[in-house]
Amino acid sequence: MNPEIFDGFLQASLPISLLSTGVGSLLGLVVGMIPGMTISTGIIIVLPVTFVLDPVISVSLLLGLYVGGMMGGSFAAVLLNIPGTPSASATALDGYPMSVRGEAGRALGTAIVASFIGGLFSFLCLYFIAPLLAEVALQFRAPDLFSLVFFGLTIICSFAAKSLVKGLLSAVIGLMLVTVGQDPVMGTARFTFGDVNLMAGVHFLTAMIGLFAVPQLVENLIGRQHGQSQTRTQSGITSLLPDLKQLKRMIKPVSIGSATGSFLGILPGVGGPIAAFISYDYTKKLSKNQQDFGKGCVEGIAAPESANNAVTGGALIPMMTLGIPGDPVTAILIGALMIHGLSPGPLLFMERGDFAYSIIFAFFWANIFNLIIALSALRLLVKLLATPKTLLMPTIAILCVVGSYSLRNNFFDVYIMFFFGLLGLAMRWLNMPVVPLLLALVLGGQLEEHLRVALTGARGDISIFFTSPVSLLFLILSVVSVFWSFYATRIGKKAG
Amino acid sequence: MSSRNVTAALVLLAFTAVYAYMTAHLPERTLPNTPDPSFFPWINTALALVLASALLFQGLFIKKNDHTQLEDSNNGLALPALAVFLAFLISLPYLGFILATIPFTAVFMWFYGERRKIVLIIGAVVIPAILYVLFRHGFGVMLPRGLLSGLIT
Repeated sequence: MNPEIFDGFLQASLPISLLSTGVGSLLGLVVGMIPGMTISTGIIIVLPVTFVLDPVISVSLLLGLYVGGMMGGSFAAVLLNIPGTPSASATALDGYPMSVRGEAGRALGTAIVASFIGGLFSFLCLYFIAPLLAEVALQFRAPDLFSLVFFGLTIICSFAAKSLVKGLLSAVIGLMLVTVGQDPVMGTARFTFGDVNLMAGVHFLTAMIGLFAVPQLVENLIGRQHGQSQTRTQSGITSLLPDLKQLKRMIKPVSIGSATGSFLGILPGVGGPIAAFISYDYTKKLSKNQQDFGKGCVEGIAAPESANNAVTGGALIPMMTLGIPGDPVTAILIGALMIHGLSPGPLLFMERGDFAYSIIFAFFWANIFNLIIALSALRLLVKLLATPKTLLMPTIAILCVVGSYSLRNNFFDVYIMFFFGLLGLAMRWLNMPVVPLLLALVLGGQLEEHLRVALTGARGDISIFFTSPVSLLFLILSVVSVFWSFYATRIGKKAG
Repeated sequence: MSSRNVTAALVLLAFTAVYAYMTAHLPERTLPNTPDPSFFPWINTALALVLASALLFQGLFIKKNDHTQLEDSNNGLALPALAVFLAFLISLPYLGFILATIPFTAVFMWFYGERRKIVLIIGAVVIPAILYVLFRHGFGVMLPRGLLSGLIT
C-alpha cells in the first residue's frame, strides 16, 4: 500500500480525529435539521475553533459537519415538511406524506440508510478519482490554470439562473473586491486608501461570515415577527431500521441517486438540490409504480437522499485536485485549509499526500458516524427541532464576531464582516444571489494571477488560451457548463 | 418599472465610476509587453458598466415581481437589531468582550422574543461567559478584556 494512503488513514483514524468527526457529524445533523439554519451557518459556528486546531482535526470536524448537515436536512423535511437544507427539498415530497401516515420512523430510516450508501459511494469515487485527476492537473501551465479557474467560475451560472444579470453582477462585485490589497504579480497596493489593514486584501472567510450569517439573523427576526414557528414536531417515530423488503425497494433508487449525485457533485455548481431532483425524476420515470411518488413511497426518499449525500464526495474531488470549489461549502473548506497554510489543488497530493488522504478518510468516517449517530440518537435529535431561537440567534451573532476577530486578532476584520453583512442584506433585498460574490472572492485572485502570468509568458498574445489543448478544453467545458447549469436548473424546477 | 433595480443600478454605476477613477490612478509598475496592475481592474470596470447598465434597463423597462421577505424589514425590528449590533461592535474594543456582550445578548434575546426576566438575565450572563472562557482559555483567541483588565484573566 502507498505509505501516504496508510499515513492518511492513520491520521484520520486517530482518536482525536474520530472525536472531531463525531462532534462535527452531530453538529451537522443538528444544524441541518433546524429550519432556518444552513450548513454554512454551522461552519461559521465552528470556524473560530478550527483556527487553533491541527489541520486534520479541523478538516475532520468540518467534513463531519458537511456530511451531517446534508443528512440532517432530511429530518425536518420528513417531520415538518420544511427542508432543513435546500438539498432536502425533494425528500419532503414523499417523506412528509409518509410521516403524516404515521410512518415517520420508516421514512427517516430510509433517508438515513440511503444517505449513508450515497456518501459511501461518493467516498469510493473520491478515493479512486481524486489522485488520478491531481496527477493530470500537475501538468497544467498558466494558460491552462487560467481556463481551469474560469471553468470553476462558471458555477456562478447555476446560481444566476433566476436573473443572469444579477448573478453576474454579484460575481463582478466579488471580482472588484478581490482587487483590494496588493496585486498578485507586482505587489502594487490597489484600492487600500493607505490603510495597512487592507494591504492583505479582504479575507473571504470574513466576507462569508457576514454574507451568510447577518442576513440569516435578520431573516429569522423577521420570521419571528411574522409568527413563523418551528416547534411543531411529529411524534410516532418507531422502528428506524428498514426491513429486508424495504431494503430491496431501495436498491434501484439508491443506485441511481448515488451515481447521479457523485457525478453531478464533480461538476461545479450543480449541487445537492439539483442532483436530488434529477435522481428523483429519473427514479420516478424508471419505476413501475409512478403513481405512488408524491404520496409517500420509499423510493421517493431513497433516490434524493442518496443523491444529495453523494454530491458531498463528488464536490470534494474538484476541490482537492484542482482547487475549484464544487459548492459554497467546499469554497469555505478551501478557506479553512488556507488558514493552515494548505492550498487545495494538484500540489496537495504531491506535497502533502498524507494530508490529502486524511481528508478522504475523514470523509469516510464522517459517513460512518452519521449513520451511527442518526440511528442511535435520532429521537433525542428531533427534540432539538424545538431549540429556542432566543438563545440560538444571539449566540450565532456573537460567534460571527469571535470568528471574524480570531482570523487575525484584529477588529478591522469584524467591521469588514459587518460591512459584508449589510452588503448581503442589500443583495437579498435585491434578490441578487450572494454565492457568486463568494466564489469570485475565492477564485478571483487566482484568475487574475494566472491570466497575467499567462499573458506575460506569451508577451501579451491572447491566442495562448486557444492554442493550448488543455486550456481550449476547459474553455469549451466552460461553455458546456454554462448551458448545462441552466438546463439542470430547469429540470430541477420541472421535477419539483 | 422596478424602483429597486433602478436604485441598485444607479448605486452600482456610481460605484463603478469611483472604481474606474481609482483604477486610472493606480501606479504603473510593469515590464514591457506585460499587463500592469490596472489590467484586471479595467476588465472588472467594463463588466460592471455593462451589467449595471443592463440592470438599469431591466429596472426601467421590464416589470417583475421582486417581492422579498426583507422588504418587510423596514417596519420591524431589523433596523434596530442592526443598530444594536453595530453599537456592540464599536463598544467591544473599549468595554471588552464580557461587558459589551452581556447587554448585547440581553437585547438580542429580547428581540427574538424572550420576555422572561430571569431567563434574559441568566442567558445574557452565561452565554458570554461560556464563550469567553471557551475561546480565550480553550482556544487561545485573545478576546479583549477591556475595562475588566486586571479583574479577569
